[in-house]
Amino acid sequence: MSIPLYELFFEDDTLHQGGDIVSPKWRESPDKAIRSMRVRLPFGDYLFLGGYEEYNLFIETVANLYGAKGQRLCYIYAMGREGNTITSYRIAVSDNGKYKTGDITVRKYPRGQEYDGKPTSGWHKGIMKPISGG
Amino acid sequence: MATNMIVRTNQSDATQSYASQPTYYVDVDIVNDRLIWTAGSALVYQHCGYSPTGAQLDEAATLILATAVEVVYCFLDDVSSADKLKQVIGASSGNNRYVFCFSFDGATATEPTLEAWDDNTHSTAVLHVLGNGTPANSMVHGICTTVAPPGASWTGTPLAASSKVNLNNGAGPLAVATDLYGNIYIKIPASYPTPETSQPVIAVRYTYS
Repeated sequence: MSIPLYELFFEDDTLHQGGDIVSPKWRESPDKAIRSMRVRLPFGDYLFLGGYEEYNLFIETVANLYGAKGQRLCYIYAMGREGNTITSYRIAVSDNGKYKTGDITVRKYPRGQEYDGKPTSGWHKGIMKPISGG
Repeated sequence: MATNMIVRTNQSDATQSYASQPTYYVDVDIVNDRLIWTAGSALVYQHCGYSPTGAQLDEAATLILATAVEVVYCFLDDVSSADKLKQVIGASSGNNRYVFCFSFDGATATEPTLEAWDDNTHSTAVLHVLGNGTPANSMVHGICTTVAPPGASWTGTPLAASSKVNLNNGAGPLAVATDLYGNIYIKIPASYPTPETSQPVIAVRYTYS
């Protein structure tokens, strides 16, 4: 069994392990309030997100029609919303000349402008409690 | 499940969608097939039965003229078929709606976009065909036709770097499996001073979760 791309720790102290980068299965995650999320980075470290009202995770890919062959996986996006502010963690999963695999770009956006100035879908609810709060 | 996209090109009638006439379309194998924009020649033509060489394509290149000239043909080099070259019907500045079909089998987290770049790193756009560093001057034009035909002699969006086309007509992420449509053409400005043999990367960026 492959190492999950992410793990969700829920309010009821249960754990959900996600899929992999090809099939993250984020939308199939249980509909329960998330206390924190752990994302596995390309070289085995982990990124923790906690204390947000909502969470999102998705993969960005580019499919070439002309001039190059095949499809390239670009980034993992892990996001958390607190009020009207969304914190976006963009994790490179391939080299692209500007960013190397594993590079993380952290940016804050107004809600609804978190991806190229536009909203994203797939958000799961969270709870705003300290990560260590039992 | 991850959301997957299949690229399809119209081979018969650009007034018919994939949903209404699926046999009018051919699936593009993005690993092995290729698109070819060309003026055509005695060796580069519809159903020629072979994949043209680089030299053959050079001889069928579009000439720079004193007036702006649109590249006449877009072919799909369908390597798994006996015909090989199949014209992408309606790939032009004409009022053609159902030309390139992008079939998504599920939801996306963001709106899919049609883009053009120098290469497979999708990070720069300085080729002459992409405007030589000025996206507004890109010779590659794209337009979303998901909800309506593009209109006659459309100009759309010059594709280069962040100058791109929202394929869901600006309506945002896909909630369910959806067919999106677009059209693409290449037009060389009048008396353009720099001939170029180039293969910009035209691509669709999308997300899945």
